[in-house]
Amino acid sequence: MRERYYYIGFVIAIAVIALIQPFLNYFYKILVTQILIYSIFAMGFNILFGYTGELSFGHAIFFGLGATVVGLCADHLSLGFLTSIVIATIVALGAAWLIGFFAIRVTGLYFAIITIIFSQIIYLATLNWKWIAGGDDGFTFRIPSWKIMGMTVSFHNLQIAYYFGLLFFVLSFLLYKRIIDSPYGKVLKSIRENEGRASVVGYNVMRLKLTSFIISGGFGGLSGALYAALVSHYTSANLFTIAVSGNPVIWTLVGGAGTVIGPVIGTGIMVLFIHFISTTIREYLMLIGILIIVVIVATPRGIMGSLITYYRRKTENEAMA
Amino acid sequence: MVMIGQIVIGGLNGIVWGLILALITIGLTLILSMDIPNVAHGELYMIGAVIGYFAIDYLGFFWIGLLIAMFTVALIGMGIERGVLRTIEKDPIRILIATFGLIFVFQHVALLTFGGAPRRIDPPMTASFSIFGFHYPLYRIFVALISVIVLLGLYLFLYRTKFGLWIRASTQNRDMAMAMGIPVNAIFMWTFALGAALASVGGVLSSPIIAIEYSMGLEMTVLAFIIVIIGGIGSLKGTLIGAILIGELEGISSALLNPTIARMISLIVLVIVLIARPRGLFSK
Amino acid sequence: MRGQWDITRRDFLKGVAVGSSILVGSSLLGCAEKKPEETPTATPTKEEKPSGKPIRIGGQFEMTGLLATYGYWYDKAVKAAINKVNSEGGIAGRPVEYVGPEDTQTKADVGAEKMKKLVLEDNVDFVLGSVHSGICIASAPIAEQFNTLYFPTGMSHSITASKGNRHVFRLITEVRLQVEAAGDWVLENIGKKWAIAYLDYAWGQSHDKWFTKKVEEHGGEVAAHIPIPLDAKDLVPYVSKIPDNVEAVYYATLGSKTIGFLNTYRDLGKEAELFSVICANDGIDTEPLKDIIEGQWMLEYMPRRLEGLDTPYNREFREACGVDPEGREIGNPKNVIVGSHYWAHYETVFLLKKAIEESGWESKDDNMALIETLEDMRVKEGPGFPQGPAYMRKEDHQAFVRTWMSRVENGKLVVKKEIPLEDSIYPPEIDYTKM
Repeated sequence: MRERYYYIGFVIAIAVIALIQPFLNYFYKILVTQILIYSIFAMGFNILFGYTGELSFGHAIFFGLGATVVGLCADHLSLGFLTSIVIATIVALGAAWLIGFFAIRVTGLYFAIITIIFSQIIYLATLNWKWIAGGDDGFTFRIPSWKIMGMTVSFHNLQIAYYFGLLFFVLSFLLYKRIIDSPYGKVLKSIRENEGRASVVGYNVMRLKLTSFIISGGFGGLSGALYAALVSHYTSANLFTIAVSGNPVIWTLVGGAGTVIGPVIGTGIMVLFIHFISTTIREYLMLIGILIIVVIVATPRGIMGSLITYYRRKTENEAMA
Repeated sequence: MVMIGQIVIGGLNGIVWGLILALITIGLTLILSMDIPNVAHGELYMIGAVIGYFAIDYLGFFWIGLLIAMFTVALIGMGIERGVLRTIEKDPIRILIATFGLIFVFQHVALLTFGGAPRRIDPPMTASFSIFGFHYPLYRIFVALISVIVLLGLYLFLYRTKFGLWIRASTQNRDMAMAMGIPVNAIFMWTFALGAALASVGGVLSSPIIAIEYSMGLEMTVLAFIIVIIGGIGSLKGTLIGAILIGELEGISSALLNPTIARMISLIVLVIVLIARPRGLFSK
Repeated sequence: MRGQWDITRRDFLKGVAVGSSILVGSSLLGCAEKKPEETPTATPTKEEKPSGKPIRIGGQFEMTGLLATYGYWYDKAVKAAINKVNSEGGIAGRPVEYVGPEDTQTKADVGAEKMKKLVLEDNVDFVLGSVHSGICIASAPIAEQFNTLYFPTGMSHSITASKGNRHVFRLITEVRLQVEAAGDWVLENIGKKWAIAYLDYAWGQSHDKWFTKKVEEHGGEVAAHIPIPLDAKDLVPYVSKIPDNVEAVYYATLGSKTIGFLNTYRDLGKEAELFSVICANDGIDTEPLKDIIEGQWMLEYMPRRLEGLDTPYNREFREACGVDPEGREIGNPKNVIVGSHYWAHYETVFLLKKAIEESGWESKDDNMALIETLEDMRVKEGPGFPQGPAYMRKEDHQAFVRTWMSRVENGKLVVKKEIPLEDSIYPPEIDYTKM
């Protein structure tokens, strides 16, 4: 019953986003596209952090790789939109497999540190070897347009980017929901709750964590690829910095780690909040810091987590009455 | 010949720089042993340097400025522990994010007061001596010595005093310590203040060498975390060895290789160490 | 504070017709047509108040992040320029409106997003750009796509070569131009055997590349190339690699790395002459650095101290930005100007005024005519152009301006030689007009 409401709500939300596009001013089209694409990043991060319980502070690697591979594909090989995106995601999955193979050997804080070290290595490499991402200067590129029945579909067009962003968001979300609801997702949750018990029961915890890391990295790569192909048309070593790694952490935590919709809500709130206050208030970064602290201290499970707890308590009370 | 000289100076400097890093990092070891991953540690180091800069600039005395910075940052540390961390103390990940929020606050306060341009505190001594035909500044040796003294003092404090015993008991098993009547909450606050004060001492003492910039905290946090984790959380000896290891890796490898590649190699070595000893070199 | 300035102003009024010092003499040579009547205090002829639809100029600046000092001064310079333009009748009779500053956080992705915001949400007509090359490169295609003229201040050579386009104009110097301007002089006067120490990323690497070329042209030698990783803290391992037998060291570092470098350089007892472009030191107070910076050479793109370029226009510019003769902020003397950079956005506003009035530009639809007017445009030293004569090259939209060779004496930057703009001209690499 609850599931059905969930899907109805989702369909309505997507329909609203699809229909309001013509009424948004040009910049808001970009902003919404950006939120949708970043949400994919946050959802993937949530699989690892919210459901498996491992905090990665190096997810910029996958976002940056996605963007950079799209850039290289478009710039050197003149590959099309879909091909670039697929290649970028595969590269990110591969990198996640490689890094995950080492990283999952440690847990908790150590895991966070090892991911930071990896992202620092990749950041230095991209800074030093300019052929990768153009170094600190970066490089711009054009995504070749599609020609369908005499019509040109340009990925530099804001409306088209908007709907492609929405399409990929819907696909990613359905996949993400699927993963969480699957038996695999349930096992991940059991690792989060009690790793020791999960392994005693007979699960290969290492292997499960590795797949979770790979899936999460794949989402990150897809998000970065879409960001480069639809929004920025630019990539640089800056996409590999800790600041970028911190983004999905904040988005997910503010929205509610371990809740399905939390990362999306968190991303939307943070991106819009920064957009509105950065122009009007000079000290906006300080306010963002304070906001993060307040949300973390006041709501143990993020905004969505708290709402769910509140709702459950309410229905329980009603049931008792 | 020049190469050998460089390796020697690189090796010597690695130890000295490692000791300076240990001084900056040691406070984090203490705080981390309470299960408080304070990612604003680098910001305490930065704020310490900034307060030290203003105090020394105003008063003209290096050592008094150092003391002022130390006490002010200790107070700030108490404020953070009481105001922000107290309610979420049992959840390290939430602490990590909350202190991540603190980074924004500290950086912005520093930008507004200190400005965006880097500045330097004059070193209290400018003499240097010669070794293998290389000049080497006395001040660095001096800071390294202070670091050794602080580490020794901290060791004696933790292992030879009642207060130190309480700290160790509280960090090892909080509930047990509380049951035994140790004032755990107060201990946490004082330990956090001590860690913060140590960060600020590191900030003031290193700023004549590497200058002060309002955005320098984050990089130092990363470095400090790497050192502590390599050495093993809660181990003073581990932090010391970890810091010297980092100093040496950079000093020697960058004499032989392209520095950026040397840096990457030293990071890869850290990954290997972490995987081989997942709890650090000197874990409890 | 204000009273103090009134006095200097009055003093300067008396002396203005005569020309105030020998140093001005040299700069006057380049600009014979300067007349005393043109001085700012003589101009306030009653202009009618600007009216009509305002012309909107956006600012995409670094207000936070590593380069926050730049945004701080850019913001002041743009405000000063727009106030002056509006008080003198606006541009083509229309008022000018400043939109910004939009903070890039010194991050390429954020900077590009702010560019889009300025163009698409705020509907600005022109964007004055960031000092971070990555942001400039990411913003250039946006300028072209949405037909908005963009004036970056990043130093990367590629902004006016492979990575620019016809909507991008750079009034400020860039790495190659800086090397052209300074190279001949430093090789003839400082030494022929060099070591180059540079931050190991795009900006530093290109200094290494262009200066090495220059040294080879002169038959000199670069004895060591020393890259410094961006996240290095202790610089002993790198500075100790500088050979003792070089005559001079060319260093390209930024921010705290500059102070760290100078510190370590003296600590290790190195004695060769030091040279850097001002980017390494802009915004950094040289006086407290005392002996570690004493005697070093620097290429300035506009003298930090008034003494180096004592013209009425420069005085007016500095007064409008609240800068004292030493290059410090009035009321906050610890804040030093990014003197070699912030003039560019001040002048851009006047460059736009000149071009708009000459081309009859009314809206973005007339941008092509405006671009053609700006191409090959020459301006003379005068009100609104305190830095001096400038020439906007048609092919690659790079402006050429004069520069100054200065030396640190008693902690102060003292101009030793003015380098005319002709000396820095190199053949264009690209021709946007033919694309």
